[in-house]
Amino acid sequence: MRRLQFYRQWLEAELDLFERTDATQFCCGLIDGPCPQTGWSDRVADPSHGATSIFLGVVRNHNAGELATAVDYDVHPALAQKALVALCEELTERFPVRLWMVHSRGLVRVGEASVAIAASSAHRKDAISCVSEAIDLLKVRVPIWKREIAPDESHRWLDGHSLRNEK
Amino acid sequence: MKRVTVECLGAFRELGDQIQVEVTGETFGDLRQSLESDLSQQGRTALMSVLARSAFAAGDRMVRDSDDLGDAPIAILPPVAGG
Repeated sequence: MRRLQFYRQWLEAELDLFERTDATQFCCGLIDGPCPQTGWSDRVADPSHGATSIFLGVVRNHNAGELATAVDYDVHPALAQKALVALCEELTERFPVRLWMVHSRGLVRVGEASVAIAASSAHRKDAISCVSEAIDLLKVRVPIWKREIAPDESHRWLDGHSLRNEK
Repeated sequence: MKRVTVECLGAFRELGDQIQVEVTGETFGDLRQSLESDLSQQGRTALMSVLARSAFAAGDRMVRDSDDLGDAPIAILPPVAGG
């Protein structure tokens, strides 16, 4: 038991989140630079849960026919954290899961992860559905923006989903 | 006339980390009109179209165009694209 506790503390120390909210069923936050790609199943581990689903959003080397070397993520920290918490609250009300959700700020290179979502549940469908909905909703609700960097170091801001709720 | 500081995010970073806007009126709708006019004068047509789909925040609160500007720090939020 002591060894397990030590391991958990080490995993927590590894995640240097500059915004973070811990709740009974979830933890979410923002991290400078890429998200770690390991340790997620341990973070949502629960002895009563028999399923773990993990989504890692990884920067790829192309988008819409253009080559890319990295994505620079811009964030409104206070609003983004508020939106992440609201999203986690909504999802943990709908699904009986333990949930982690972390998003990057700043430069994330090809092959590195910009978002990590992990959920565990007693049975597989809840964990899988929760993670799938989480990434869909994160993309349209959380104030984060992508600036895509090309091999020649030119860049472009990518279009997204409008948060304007009136015309 | 009121001078308002607006934090720029996403595509609006092209204007700098923040901008000053002279606003005639007291609401976020007035701020939108003034900013649109400034962008038009600068010939920034691409940002004008982004502005039409952008929201505003005051502090950590999303606001509507009909809301008063108030005293909280203002940010402009272009369409979001996380993930």
